Amino acid sequence: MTRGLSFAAMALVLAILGCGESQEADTRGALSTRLTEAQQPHVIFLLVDMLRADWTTPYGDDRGTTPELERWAQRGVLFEEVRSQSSWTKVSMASTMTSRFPAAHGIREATDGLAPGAETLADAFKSAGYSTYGVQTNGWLHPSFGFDQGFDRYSFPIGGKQAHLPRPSLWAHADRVMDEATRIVSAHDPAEPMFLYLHFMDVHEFAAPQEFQTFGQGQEAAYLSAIRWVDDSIARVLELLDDHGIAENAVIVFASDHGEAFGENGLYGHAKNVLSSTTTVPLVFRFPFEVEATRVPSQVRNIDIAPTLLELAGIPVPEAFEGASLVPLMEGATEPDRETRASLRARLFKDATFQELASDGRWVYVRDFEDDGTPRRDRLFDREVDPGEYIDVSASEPDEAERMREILEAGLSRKPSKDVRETNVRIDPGIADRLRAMGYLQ
Amino acid sequence: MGDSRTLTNEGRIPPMFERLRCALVIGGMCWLCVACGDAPTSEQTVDTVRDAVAIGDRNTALAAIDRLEKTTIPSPEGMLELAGLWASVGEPGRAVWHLEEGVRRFPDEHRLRVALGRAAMLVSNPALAIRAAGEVPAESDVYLSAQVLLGEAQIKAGDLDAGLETLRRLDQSHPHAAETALARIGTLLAERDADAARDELARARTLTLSPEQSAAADGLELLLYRVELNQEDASRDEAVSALMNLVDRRPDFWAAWELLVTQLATAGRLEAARERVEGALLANPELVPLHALNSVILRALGEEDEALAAAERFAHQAKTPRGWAVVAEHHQASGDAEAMLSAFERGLELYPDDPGLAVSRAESLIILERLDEAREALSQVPRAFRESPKLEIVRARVELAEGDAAAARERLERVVSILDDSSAQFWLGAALEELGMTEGAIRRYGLAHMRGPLDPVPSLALQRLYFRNRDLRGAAMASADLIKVAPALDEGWIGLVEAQILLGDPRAALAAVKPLRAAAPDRAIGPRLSARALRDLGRFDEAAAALDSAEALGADVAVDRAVLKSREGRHAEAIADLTALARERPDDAAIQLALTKVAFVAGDETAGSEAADKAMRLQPDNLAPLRERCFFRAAQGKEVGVADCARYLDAHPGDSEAHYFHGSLLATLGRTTDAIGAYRRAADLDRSDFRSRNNLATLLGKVGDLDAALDAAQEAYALSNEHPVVGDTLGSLYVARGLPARAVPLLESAYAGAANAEIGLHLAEAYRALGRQADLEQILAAISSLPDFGPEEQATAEALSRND
Repeated sequence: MTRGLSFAAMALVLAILGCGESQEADTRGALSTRLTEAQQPHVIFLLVDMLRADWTTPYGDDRGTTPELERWAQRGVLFEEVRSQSSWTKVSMASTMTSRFPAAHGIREATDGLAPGAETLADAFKSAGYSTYGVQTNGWLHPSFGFDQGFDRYSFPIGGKQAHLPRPSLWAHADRVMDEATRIVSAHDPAEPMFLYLHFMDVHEFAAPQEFQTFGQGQEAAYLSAIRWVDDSIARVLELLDDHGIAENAVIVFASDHGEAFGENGLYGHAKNVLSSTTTVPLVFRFPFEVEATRVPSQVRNIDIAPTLLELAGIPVPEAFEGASLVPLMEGATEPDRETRASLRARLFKDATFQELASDGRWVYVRDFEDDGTPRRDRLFDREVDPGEYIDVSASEPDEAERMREILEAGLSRKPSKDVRETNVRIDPGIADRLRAMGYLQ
Repeated sequence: MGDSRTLTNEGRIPPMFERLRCALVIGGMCWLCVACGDAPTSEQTVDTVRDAVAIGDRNTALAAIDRLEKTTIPSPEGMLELAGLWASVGEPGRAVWHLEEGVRRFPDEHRLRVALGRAAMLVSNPALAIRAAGEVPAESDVYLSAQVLLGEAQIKAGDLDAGLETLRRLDQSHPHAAETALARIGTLLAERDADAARDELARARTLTLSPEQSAAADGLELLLYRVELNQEDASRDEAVSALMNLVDRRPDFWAAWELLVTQLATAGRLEAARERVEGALLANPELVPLHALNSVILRALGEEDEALAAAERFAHQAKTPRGWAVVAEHHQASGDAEAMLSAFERGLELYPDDPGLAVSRAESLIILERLDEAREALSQVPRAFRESPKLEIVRARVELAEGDAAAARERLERVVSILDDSSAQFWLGAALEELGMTEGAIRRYGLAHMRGPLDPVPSLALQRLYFRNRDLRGAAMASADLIKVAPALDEGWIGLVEAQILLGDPRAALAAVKPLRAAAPDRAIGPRLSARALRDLGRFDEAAAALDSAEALGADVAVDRAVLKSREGRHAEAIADLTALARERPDDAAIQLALTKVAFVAGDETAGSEAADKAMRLQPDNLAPLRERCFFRAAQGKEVGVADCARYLDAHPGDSEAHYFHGSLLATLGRTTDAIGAYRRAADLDRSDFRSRNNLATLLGKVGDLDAALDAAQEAYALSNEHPVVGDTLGSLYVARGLPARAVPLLESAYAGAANAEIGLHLAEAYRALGRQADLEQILAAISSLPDFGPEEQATAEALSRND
């Protein structure tokens, strides 16, 4: 019997055994058991660059941007308050892939990268016997920055530069990602476990085919169209996995590395601060079996994704990982909001502010720095009253300010783990050109 | 064949059937031959791909390669050729897959591994390239190439030292192998290490180079000069001298000639460029492309006839369609559309199947507004390219010219998904603008600018639309871009100064004009713009002097002088001057617009309104006068202003400030719901607008939507925390929300900034909520003597005092 079949059989047995019990208890008990019994499921990590949670359907947007994601949320687990660890891809993905806060991995500059010794999610899967594939499309995650470690195959399916041919984007779009993914999945034996990471840049590029441009004409409309297009793309990913017998034994996670500001705090774009508009991201888990739609309200972090995926795959979580598995929350445990931190210490744009943030869910403590690292000002925000993080209430809430300041400083006092960060990485000139064209590296 | 009578269960085939089988087989082979006859050859495919690339028809190129791949029996040579084609059309990923298959099929063909590695580098997969290179054994005749690839892949993977070491090691083991030297030079140039690259290049020249390697070395040399010229301490003279040596050595190196001429032109040495080019032509008449270059030089020198002659010489001698494009370009630069058309037509007589000339002819006909002929011209493009995206753009332009913007939009939206270049985005922007979709048009023009940053046309369009939307920051940005690429155009300078002034920064506007006045002292626009900025800085005498300078240079500054008087407070004089000017020039809308503004500033609604109506009769598309009237009437609280504002906003829905004034007027008239809508729109359009947000917060608080009110008030405060009204709004909302401790510092600061009864009462309320009785009584006492402390305020104070 193949793994897939045994899984399905187990599910059937469980379903029969579960008949007659209350729906809620049945679902939770079944989820826990099913998760425990799943042996080496395929793990599919879908990362949509620059996607803010609040503009997707399951997070309350009513413009029909992500019907497929909504379907996944309806039969899976959605986390309502998810924070990335930076508003810049490189730092955020370093945190996500190493399950470390920025202070622990130490990556902060444009010329920083992951050192060969950094223990990543892909490394953990590979050590456990998984085939590991990455199809990524963001120059900040180029192999020269070390993000390819642990992957058997790490593709960057950008088109070549041709003077007379269209260069529709700086980075590859979903159709190229799909082409590459199709090749990979077609060549892979479904009986063997795979970790597949697909990184989509279409939202970052505000790019979508014409038939998806139904939200109007301006910049926000283009962003919404791109979200809709990527949503369609994840539906095609699911179809691809299904066609090749992968979906029936696959855990799929949908996430983002950071959001995008559209005027919040007077800013447009990202990598300019680490306030909520650019660090609140979606996180949805889809299982091969349906579960009752579960929405977890507590604050969680992107660094929790890696330990979660490893636990779901039955793989031990490396000690160095700072995140904690989300499986208990998926199974109905209640927890307080998890403390989170975020960091931005590279001037990628002229109007960026060097910033460190600590939050316990309600209270957000932010410290701004000068370019030379000197602290410039501290602020405390109360998200219960001021979700936009506009008003510094440290004067009127001195006790909370003190408590949060201590949390921030405890995080900042950590020294980066050795062998995680590599400095002075040479940026590939071709990649540097593209990054410059995006406005980075000015 | 056997006995015909013994048959079949043992598989014996009767002769009849055998004959039939033979016939079928032969027939099948014939069919196969026919099919083979339809299968493209690689030469045909290369031609098709080249032609398709020339007009940006990616789909045709891809389809041709796909067809070749499906109909070709795999062989190492075939796989290499196909991979090359995939890479040439920007599909290196497909080349990688193709070559991976090739390596599997032909494991001993190590050149496939090298090709795979090169393709892997194009998709930034250096790990795959390193693996592929590492599998090539030392005894292979492509081992050296593989090792060069290995070095380059190591560098691409981020390990510069290891890569350079690999190349250095190769150099030592193969000192006469030019390939390694050239690879190292390329790497050094990519690292912008010009000095090391120059040394390596000099050494490489001492090696025995094949013709291809020699050409590669020349290419690297040119790249070296480009790198050197881009360096901060670049010595143009040295580079020019080196380039002259290069073209002497390689007179057929056209790219080197272009760079040389560009550098000479930049240094103001066009005559030297002409001399050099004509000298080369005299020495060697075979250097036909130099005629095209010479044409450009001569035109820049103002010698139009000679320039045309040079272009014609190129066309006749080059014997390619490109020659006629050069002649046409000459006429286009001279502004002669008819002659441009004629050039394309002459080219088509000689090359009737050239799709590029056919498309260009159609474009010329559009410029000449001969739209039916343009349509006809498009239908004559060779069939293979009739659906190409560049032709689609031209079709869309015809539709736009005919007034069918909707059809043009639909067509261009399809095109941009295939051919996303500056032209496609620009024309889509034009179609959207025509349809009144300003936001979309701005986006597309912006993309057109990004795709073609040296073309001023998208920036001109952007500037126009940003001003229409009163997005002054956008207008300033577009104007600055325009100045960068086309400093000779007045529009950039005018736009930048206007935007800076309207943003409230006349100092920046004055600074912006300085380079123009320094570089072009004989252009009247310089002092005129200075006058504008000086006027807003209150430096009226200097402004007047600047206008004198502008007038001396030939500018008509009568209107400017009148407006200056108005700014000085001499309203009556200003109105009189403008009225007199209007009598002299009754059809001058600019005078009426100036009169509108001046009259309203003077508070003369009648004169202002009359002038506004006249201005709009003269220029129905320019609603700026209506805007002025809307603002005036809104400030006066006049209900008749609602219609003005609504009409203006109907045509300019992106004008944030107009929405704000509209909202203010509606709020004054008690139309709270409408006012909320207007303020919301203003806030959405301008993320820096604290006034709209503050007023929105106040109204939302009044209608009981406390959460939304707080959001708006907090945002307003974050934008402008020194404004007392803003602090007061937020403070009072905090009190309503049950957060008096947070309210107090805001209200105290607001009161300190603008002591009035309303703020004082809000502060009193906060004190009461905190139980700070002494502070409560103190503030109530303080406000009781304020001029705006009336009966209503008194009643509130008493209620607070009683703790009601």
